[in-house]
Amino acid sequence: MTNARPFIVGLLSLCLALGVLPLFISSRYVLDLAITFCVWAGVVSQWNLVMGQAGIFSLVQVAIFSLGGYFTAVMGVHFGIPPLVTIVPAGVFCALFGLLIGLPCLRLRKAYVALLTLAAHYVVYLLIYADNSGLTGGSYGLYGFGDFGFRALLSARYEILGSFYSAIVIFFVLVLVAYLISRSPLGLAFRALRDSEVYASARGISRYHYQLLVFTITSFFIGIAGSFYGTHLKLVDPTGFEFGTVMTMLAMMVIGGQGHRWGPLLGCALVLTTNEVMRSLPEWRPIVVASITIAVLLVWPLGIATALDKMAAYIRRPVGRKVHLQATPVEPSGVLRRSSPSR
Amino acid sequence: MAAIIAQTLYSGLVLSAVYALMAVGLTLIWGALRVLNLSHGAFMMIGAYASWLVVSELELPWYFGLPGSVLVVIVFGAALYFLLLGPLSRRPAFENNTFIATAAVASALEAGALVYFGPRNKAQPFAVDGAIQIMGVSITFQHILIVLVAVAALFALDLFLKRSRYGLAIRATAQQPEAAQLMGIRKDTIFLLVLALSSGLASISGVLLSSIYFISPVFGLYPMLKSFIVCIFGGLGNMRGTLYAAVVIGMTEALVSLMLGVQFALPVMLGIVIGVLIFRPHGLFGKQEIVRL
Repeated sequence: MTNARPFIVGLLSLCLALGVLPLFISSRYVLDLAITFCVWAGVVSQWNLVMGQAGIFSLVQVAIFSLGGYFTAVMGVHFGIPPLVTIVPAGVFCALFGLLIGLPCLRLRKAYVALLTLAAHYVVYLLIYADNSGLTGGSYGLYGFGDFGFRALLSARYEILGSFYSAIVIFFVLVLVAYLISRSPLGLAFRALRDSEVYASARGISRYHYQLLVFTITSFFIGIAGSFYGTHLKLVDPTGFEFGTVMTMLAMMVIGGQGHRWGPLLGCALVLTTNEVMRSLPEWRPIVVASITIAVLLVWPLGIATALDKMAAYIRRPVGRKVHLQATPVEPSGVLRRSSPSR
Repeated sequence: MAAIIAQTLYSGLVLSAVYALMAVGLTLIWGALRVLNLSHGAFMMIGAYASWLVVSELELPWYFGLPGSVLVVIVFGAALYFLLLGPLSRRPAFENNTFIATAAVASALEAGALVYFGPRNKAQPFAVDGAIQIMGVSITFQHILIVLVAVAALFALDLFLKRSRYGLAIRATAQQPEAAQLMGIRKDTIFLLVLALSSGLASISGVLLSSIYFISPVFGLYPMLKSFIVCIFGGLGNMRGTLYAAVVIGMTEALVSLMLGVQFALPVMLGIVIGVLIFRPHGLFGKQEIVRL
């Protein structure tokens, strides 16, 4: 197992760098963009844990994200409970929803999981979109369900700073939790299952149970992010369920590198930058993002972060003398022996 | 009441024919290549627009719409193979990456159609007018045309797979890819052939389905989701099961739409499929897949 310190230090310095951003840039637009980055990078990190580490090809995470926002909105509009109180219950609600989806879906394998979770995504979307009972606001969505109280606390001018620093906290927690889970016995179990499923199962590692566990845990954190994002936007509506959103998040994961600890952050930054570059031509945006995704898949099938890792390893390789690794399986000791430098 | 039920069953039958056509295209490509083609719905949309272009812009008679669109979409399918799936099949993480790549293709094609054709719905020109009344059920000639074309396409596919040497090669590849390759079947040829077949089926179903509804850049999405459900229900890669499942799902959709409302069709279908999968994890007719280690 690799040392955890470089990642945590890197993550902390990234958060610090984000934290001093308001000192230099006061533009509300840039801060909004930074909030979007924080929330999405956190969600993609969690999704990456499900897809890249646990090998569950699930597409329902965007629906879970939106449901988190909807829970807070419904509680605020119909029961008058402020978002600050409902943010954690929103996570619990989403965890239960994830468990409900996971129970039948995770019994199956790759393609079936992908199709069923995609269908589940659209079922949630259709039920909300066509809902005319007023509970979810149907196609109009819900708004006016309160905020976190930053406006009262910091005045309207600095309200965004409150959201911004909360977003950084959410970002830090989600990314760190995803990383810690991938280093925990849970992550070890997934690595074992990936390397040899038979041996791992023979040692008592149940794929179903571990996948269900990680599915539920990530649903909790994704729900919290969704609740925060909905409250930040002061609006939840069904456009969040569009296939474009799913595609954007998938693109972030794939471009960055599935299963790589830095992949989601890198991918998220790249895709959001592309979106900004394409701001004047919004109708071409999906085409460009899709083309970049396909190009990355063709050139670096495991993502840019993984490719960078390989490059770094290549640069760091011992230079000056040639080192030959020679496997000697016939020797009783069976160890790898490094041959003496050839002259 | 009897007339309403008869009408519902009849429209369920028409839907089943189109779903069967779509789902067979999807299941064929999964069975032979282990590719889950998420751009199938976008290919349907391209097929429908191609038919519209051929008839409205080139001013050919309406019945040129179908063959024209099949040709266009087969070209798209071949391009998908040469530019994307072929190269991806030689790289790691093939199954996941093709899934994401075809999703990306779908989103690009949809956005492209929106840019090129605009958001306004278009009417499918591959259509005939008129209807007859039988026992209180109004049967339009268009629906008869749909069922005839769908059944003819399915029979042609069945003949091709069962009687021709290439069909044999496809079935052999679906059964045992490595053994098929050892017998001298080129994997690349099969890949291209299956994609062409599947794209052809997508375009036919796109043209037929858009003649019931309208052509719009996103119209392929929900039919594709439903045919995914059909595929899972019948067992991915299983042709016969897919056909039965299409009838069951088409009928269910018609009945649920009548009794509960259209928006509940997909949720009820999903519920049924989940129920089936709990007891039969490989679909109603799917064989237990033996995992080779």
